[in-house]
Amino acid sequence: MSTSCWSVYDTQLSSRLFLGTARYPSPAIVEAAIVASAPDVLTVGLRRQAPTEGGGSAFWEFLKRQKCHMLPNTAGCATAKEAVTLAQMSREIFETDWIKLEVTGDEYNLQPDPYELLTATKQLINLGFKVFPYTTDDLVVCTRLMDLGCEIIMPWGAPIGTGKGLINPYALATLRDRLPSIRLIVDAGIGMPSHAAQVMELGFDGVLLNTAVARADDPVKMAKAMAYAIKAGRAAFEAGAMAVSETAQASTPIVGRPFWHAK
Amino acid sequence: MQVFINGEPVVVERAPLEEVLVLLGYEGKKVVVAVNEQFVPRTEWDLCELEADDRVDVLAAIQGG
Repeated sequence: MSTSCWSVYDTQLSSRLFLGTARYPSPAIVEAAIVASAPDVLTVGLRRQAPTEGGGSAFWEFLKRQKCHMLPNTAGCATAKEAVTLAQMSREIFETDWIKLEVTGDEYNLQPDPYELLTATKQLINLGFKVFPYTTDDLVVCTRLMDLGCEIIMPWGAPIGTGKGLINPYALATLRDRLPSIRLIVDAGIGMPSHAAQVMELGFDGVLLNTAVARADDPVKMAKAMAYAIKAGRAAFEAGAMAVSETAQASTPIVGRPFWHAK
Repeated sequence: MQVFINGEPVVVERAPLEEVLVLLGYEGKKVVVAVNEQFVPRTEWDLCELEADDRVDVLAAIQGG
């Protein structure tokens, strides 16, 4: 697979970065971060709107300027019923059948509820949606999501907004090993470019991140750093890492070593 | 009758959803609607008669992660 081109649900993408649009210091900075990191996919949401707020018209103008696919989320939903309703509303307003399915089971760490997630996934696929489920790194849950018809699964690296990096690399490596044919993206928990590179070195197909860029001291520079890290990690995966050795292996040839004499 | 718009109680005449949204100032706004947590497509706004105590959610696009 090339570093430069891949696909999700038959949509060709060149970037492996999915970028969130929330929590930036200003609209101008999110726009500059998008230019700096060149993602193909942006995540967006829906919230209650008072008539005086203009129907989100300023945000629409912003979205129209971006040459990206929109991936609306169901953030804040706690049941399959809520998530399915919000997905239907998102499909109408964003004119896409892509949905980043989030169903929260615990408010403390915003952990996905696997039972409601599976129920919602089944209903949404029956309604013609292309589901991007946000899930824990549980192998069995991910397998069930794949069995329901998901072509992509988005396990967490760590809870949303923590920036902790990959708290269970073993589980993520196991997912890649056991589900080799499905698209895998780490969504949430990324804090540093090294975390994003680690995801890609595991053979994941991409990274979805938001807060790591939005809450950096310089979001635009961090957006660019993340894009570099994702490209570097992917290239490293394709290159194939050397085998790890328990003992030292001299890099410089032993033969011809100076000052050596038989004793 | 009283209905709830985005959680706030509002007194309106019995009328189709589309008319209620116009009266509330949503005409021409890029919004989507659910009534009692059921999605109501824009093409059905003129057919949807609100009942007393209905819960209407009017949503618009925002930034998201």
